[in-house]
Amino acid sequence: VPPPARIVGVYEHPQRIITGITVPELHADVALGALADAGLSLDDVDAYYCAGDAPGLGPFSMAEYLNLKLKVFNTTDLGGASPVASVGEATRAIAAGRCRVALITSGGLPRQVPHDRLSEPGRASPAENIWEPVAAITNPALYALCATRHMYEFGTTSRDLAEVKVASAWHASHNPHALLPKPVTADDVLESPLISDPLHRLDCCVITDGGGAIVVAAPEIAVQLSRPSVAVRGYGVALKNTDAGAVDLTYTGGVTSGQQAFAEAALRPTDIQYASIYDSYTITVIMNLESLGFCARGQGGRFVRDGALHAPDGRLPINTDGGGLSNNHPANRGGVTKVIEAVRQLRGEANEGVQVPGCTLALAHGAGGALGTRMAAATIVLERDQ
Amino acid sequence: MSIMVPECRACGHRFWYPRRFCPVCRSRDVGGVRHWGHGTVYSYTVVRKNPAPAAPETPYVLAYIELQDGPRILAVLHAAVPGAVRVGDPVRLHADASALTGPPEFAVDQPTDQIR
Repeated sequence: VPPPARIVGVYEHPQRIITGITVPELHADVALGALADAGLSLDDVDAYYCAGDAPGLGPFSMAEYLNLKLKVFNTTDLGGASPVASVGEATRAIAAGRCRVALITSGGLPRQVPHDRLSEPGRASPAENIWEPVAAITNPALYALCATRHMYEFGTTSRDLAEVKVASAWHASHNPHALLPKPVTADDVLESPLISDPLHRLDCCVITDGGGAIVVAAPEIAVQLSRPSVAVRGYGVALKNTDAGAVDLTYTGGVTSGQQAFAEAALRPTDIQYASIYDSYTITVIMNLESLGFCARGQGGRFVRDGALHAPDGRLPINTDGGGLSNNHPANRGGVTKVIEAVRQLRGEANEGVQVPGCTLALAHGAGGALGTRMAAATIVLERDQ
Repeated sequence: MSIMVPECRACGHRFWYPRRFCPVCRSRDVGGVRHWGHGTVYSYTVVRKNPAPAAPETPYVLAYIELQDGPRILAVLHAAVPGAVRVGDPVRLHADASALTGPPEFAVDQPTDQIR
């Protein structure tokens, strides 16, 4: 087995509300930022990964705009799971000798430009649209359905959900770039308006402009660079859906992607010191903690009590940048920020007060689509190079 | 009132949503079974915000309905008091769905669902 590829550069756009810029310019800005972080240039890039948030069709426009000379390109759209999956796919392409330096970009301007690809003319309507009450379905509702069932089967409470937001807001209060930098209490969450029962407004993530980029490189390139690199030790990816009428709302695709990633890394959840867990909603975190194996099925609500998610001393600090719930959820898909904060933790570059001491093993988990219907899950296990 | 539930003639599986083949055994010999539309709430949410122009008037209930001996169906659930719906509540069809031309709608199946 060849040594795994390394994440050698990351960059998160510092702004959460951005005007006077186009989406192609945004993708280029974050690309240049991540390459500068790595000590590489666009001329070194021979693989490019983006997803449905990138402008135009597939890789065509951005590859031309950046004038990339590519051996490998992939634009599989897994929503918020895409950047995490792209790290894994790039790692495999590099291990197979198909490329040496992969660039991944993600970003958009949903506060300026409505993100509504499904209404693009010429795009085929998905089969389920005939049979599901499309006009009555909202994104929060599809997560609320999971929360209701989780509460019914396992006794999870709204206060348990609120604990996830409390941890995220506390972390965000250490992040000068966070959209919502003020700490909140569980009561604040419970007193915020119901959006789709049982989810309150503060159970929902933010909407932000912005984005980020990641550079993955072959190990022989990583050793020549000056910045600390991070090994991609394990990767898993999975789809989950309504199962032809037998939908089970109590688990996520993380069951499969997590098992794959831990098996490849030959590690267990208890080895992980920091985790970036996709947090489109508070219930997303609780269910993914279970599905990834950080606690038993149904125990997520109990797991998050007593400050378990708080850095630096909680049982499992998560989303120390403030996550999608309080910091950044660029282009309505926060996967790229999940990878970036995990890399910061492993480099020892997290914000003061939330750095996990001696962090050598971390996990990043992305989710796309909707937990209540059709979703993608992608998980990577990362280790700091000594 | 009834709903035509897609059923595989080869393996007997009842599935949702309708397809021209069985998603379980892959047979192309699929038909429908007339179902009276009785079931229970598998999960639900009271939608209180929906900015879409064609959205129902809020608040309304969106639910996964588990048909008796049948599939789980994502549907609008009519309830006199949306906040009173609970998992396990019995439901019935809100309108005839025997022709199966679009999403079925259900209603809470008790005379006064506001009493809790």
